[in-house]
Amino acid sequence: MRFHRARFQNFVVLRDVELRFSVDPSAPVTVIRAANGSGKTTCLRALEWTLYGDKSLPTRGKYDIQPIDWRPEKGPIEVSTELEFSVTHEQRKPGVAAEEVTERYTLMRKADVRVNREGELATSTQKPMLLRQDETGYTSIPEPQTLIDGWLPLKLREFFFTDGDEALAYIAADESSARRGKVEGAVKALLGVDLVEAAAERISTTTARELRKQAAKESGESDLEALAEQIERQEDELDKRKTRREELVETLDQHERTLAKLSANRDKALEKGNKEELKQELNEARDERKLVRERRLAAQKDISRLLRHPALEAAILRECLKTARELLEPLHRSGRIPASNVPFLRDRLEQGRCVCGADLTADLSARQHVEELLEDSASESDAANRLNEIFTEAGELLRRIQQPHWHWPTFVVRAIATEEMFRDQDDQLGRQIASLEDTIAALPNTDIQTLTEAIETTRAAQGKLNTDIAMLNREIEELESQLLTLKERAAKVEARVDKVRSWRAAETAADDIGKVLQATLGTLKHDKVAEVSEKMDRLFREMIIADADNAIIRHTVLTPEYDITVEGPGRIINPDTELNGASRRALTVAFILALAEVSGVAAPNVIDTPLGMTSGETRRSLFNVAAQHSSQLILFLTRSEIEGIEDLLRQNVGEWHTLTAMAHYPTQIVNRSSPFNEALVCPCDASQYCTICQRIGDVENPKLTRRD
Amino acid sequence: MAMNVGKLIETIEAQIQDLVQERRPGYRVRLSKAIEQLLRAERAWRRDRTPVNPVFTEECKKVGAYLLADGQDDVRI
Repeated sequence: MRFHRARFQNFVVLRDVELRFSVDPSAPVTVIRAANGSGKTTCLRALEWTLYGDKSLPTRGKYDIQPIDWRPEKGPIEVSTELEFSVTHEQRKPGVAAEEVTERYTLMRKADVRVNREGELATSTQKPMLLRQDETGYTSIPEPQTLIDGWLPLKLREFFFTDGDEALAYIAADESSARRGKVEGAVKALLGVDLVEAAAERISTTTARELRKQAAKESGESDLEALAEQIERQEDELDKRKTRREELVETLDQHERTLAKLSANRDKALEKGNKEELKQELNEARDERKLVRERRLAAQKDISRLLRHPALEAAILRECLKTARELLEPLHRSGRIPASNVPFLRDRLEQGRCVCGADLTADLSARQHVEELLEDSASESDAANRLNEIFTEAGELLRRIQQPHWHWPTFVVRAIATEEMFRDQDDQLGRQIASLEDTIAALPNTDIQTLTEAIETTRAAQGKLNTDIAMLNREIEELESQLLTLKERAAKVEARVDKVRSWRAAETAADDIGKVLQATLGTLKHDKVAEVSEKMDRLFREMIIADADNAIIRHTVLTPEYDITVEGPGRIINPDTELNGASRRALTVAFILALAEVSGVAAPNVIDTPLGMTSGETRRSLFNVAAQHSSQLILFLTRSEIEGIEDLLRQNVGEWHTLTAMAHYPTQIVNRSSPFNEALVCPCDASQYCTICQRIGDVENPKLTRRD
Repeated sequence: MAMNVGKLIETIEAQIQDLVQERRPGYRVRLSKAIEQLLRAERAWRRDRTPVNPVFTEECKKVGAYLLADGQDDVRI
C-alpha cells in the first residue's frame, strides 16, 4: 500500500489540509515539517481515523475530533477526511505467471458532531466509503473496513504509524509479562506466523476431527467385502436354482412332447375304437343280458304260476261249469240224470216182477219189454251218468272255485307283456353282444390302456415337475428379492465407501496441509525470524554506527521467542533500561524496517518525530537507513530534527509540507494567515519559509530562503 | 494477511516440495492453492468472524479429490 494524498477537513486543527505523499521510488520520503504543537500528531491521528475510524483514537472516543474553536451554538459540524492510496497485489491466474496489479482507491470517512439533548457532545461517525478508481471512473466497494483491515491491520497500527516518543516503548517488554508483546504481535502478524499457527491448529484439530468423524459416521456399515461375499453366495444359489429350473423346464417340455405324442397315438387308436372300452361295453352288455334273462325267466315263471293258479280255473271253467249246470239242470230236475231206471229195471228183472205187477218170470213178453227197456236205458244211462257226473262235478267245482279278487287275465297279459319285453331286450342285447364281439374281434392289437397309463404317468410327472418348478420359482423369487435387498445395501455401502474414501482422502489432505503448515511455521519462526533478526541487527548497527570492537552495543538479536536482546561487550544489555533514547528509537525503527522488508509488506511507515533525541551521525544514519529501507516513508519532523540532514532530505524527499499552527501567532510565527485556530499547510521545504510558515528569526537564518 | 501473500506462499510451496514430494505435481499445486484459501479464510475469521471451518473442510475435500482422482488416496476402508 502506498499513500498518495490525504485531505482533512474540520479535524481538530486541520480545518482544510491536503497532503501529498511521495510515491517516487527514488525519493520515497515525504516530510511534514512542523514545530511542536503545530498538528503533526493530529495529522497522524487524522490518517489513522481515516483508516480505522473511532477505534484508532486515543482513549476510545474521548478524543474530540471536531475543530477546537467550534462552539455548539454554531450548530452541527461535519468532520471529513479522505485518503487516496494504491494497493499492489499479485494476481494469480491458472496457467499464467503471477503478475502484480496496482489498484487505486479513495477512502472517505465522515462524522457529524453536535450537542445532544442532554447537552453532551455527540459524534456520529459514519461508515467509511471506499471507491476504487479505474479508467471508467469510481466503483464503490462494499465492506471497505474489511479490506482496510486486510491491508493494514488495526492491531499493527502502531507498527505503521509510529509516534516517535511512543516508539521508545514499542519494543519494550510488557510490564506484566516481561514479554515484548508488540514485537511478538508484529512478527507473528507480518510474517504470518499467527495465521499459519491458527490454520495449523485448526486443520489438525477441528478440521481433521470433523473429517475423521464424517469418515467414521459414513463407515458405520462398510463391510462391503462381507456383503459382496454374501451377494456372491446368493447369486450362486440363484444360479443353481435357475439352472435346475431350466433343467426341469426342459424335462417338462420333453414330457409335453411325449404327452403330445402319446395323446396323438391314443387319439389315433381311439379313432379306431377302444378295445378295452368295447370289452367293457361287451361285458356290460352281457351282464345286462344276464339280468334281462333272469327277469325274463322270472316273467315266464310268473306266467307259469298264473297258468297253474286256481284263478285260471275260475277264469276259464266257472262260466263253462255254470253253463253246464244251467244246461244239465233241467235234465237233473227231470231226473233224466242220473240214469236211475237201469238198476230199477235190473232189480225188477231180478225180482221178476214189474212195477205193474206183471210177472216177469212168466210173462215173457213183459220181460222182454222190460229187458228191451233195460237195454235202451242202459244205452242212455252211460251218457246220463256222464252228464250227471258233469253236473255234479260242475256243481262241486262251482262250489270249490272261488272268484279271486284279482283279474287273472290282466295279470297274465301283463306277465306275458313283461316276458315279451325281456325277450325283446334279450334279443336286442344278443344282437349288441354279437356286434361288439365282431367289432372287438376286428380291432387292431393297439394298447390304448398302456398309452393311457403312459399319458397319466407323464401327466403325473408333469404335475410333479410343475410343482417343483413352482417351488423353484418361489425360491428364485425369494432369492432375487434377497439379492436385490443385498445389492441395494451394497450400493448404499458402496456410496458410503465412496464417501468414506472422499472423507479419508480429505483427511489425508488435511494431514498434508497440517504437515506443510507446521513446517512453514517452523520456517517462519526460525528462518524468517532469524532473517529479521539479522537484518534488524545490521540496520540498527548501521544506524548507530556501531563499531563491533569498541561500541557498547555489539549485537542485537530477535530471538525465536520474540525477545529483543542486545549484546554488549561481555554482557547482555537490557534495551529497556540500559539503552539511551536515540538507540532505543533506532532499534525500534530497525526492527520495523527489518520486519517489513523480510515480510515483504509494502506499506507506508509513518513516523512522528523519529529523530528526536538524536544528533550528528546517528541522526543522519538513522534517517538514511530508514529512507533506504522503506517502501514509503512519511516523517513528521521538527525543524530541529531536520538540522544536520538537510542534504539527505534533498536526496530522498519527494514531497514536502510545512504545517503551521495559527495558535503560534504571534509568539512563534510572524503572520496570522487565518482568523481561525487552525493549522495551515504550505509546500515549503527544509530550506524555505513563506508567509504562512514564517517563524520569528527565519529571515535572519542563512539556511533559509523565502519561497514566495 | 499482513505478510506479503506471495512471500508466504513461496515459503509454503518450498515446504510442499519437501514434504509431499511423493505426490503428483497437480496435487502439490492444488495443495498450495488450498493452503492459500485456508489462510485467507483464517484471516477473514479473525477480521469479521466469517465462518472458517466449512472452508477448511471443503478445501480438504477438494484436495482429497485430487488424491482420489490420481489414485493416491491410500485409503483403507
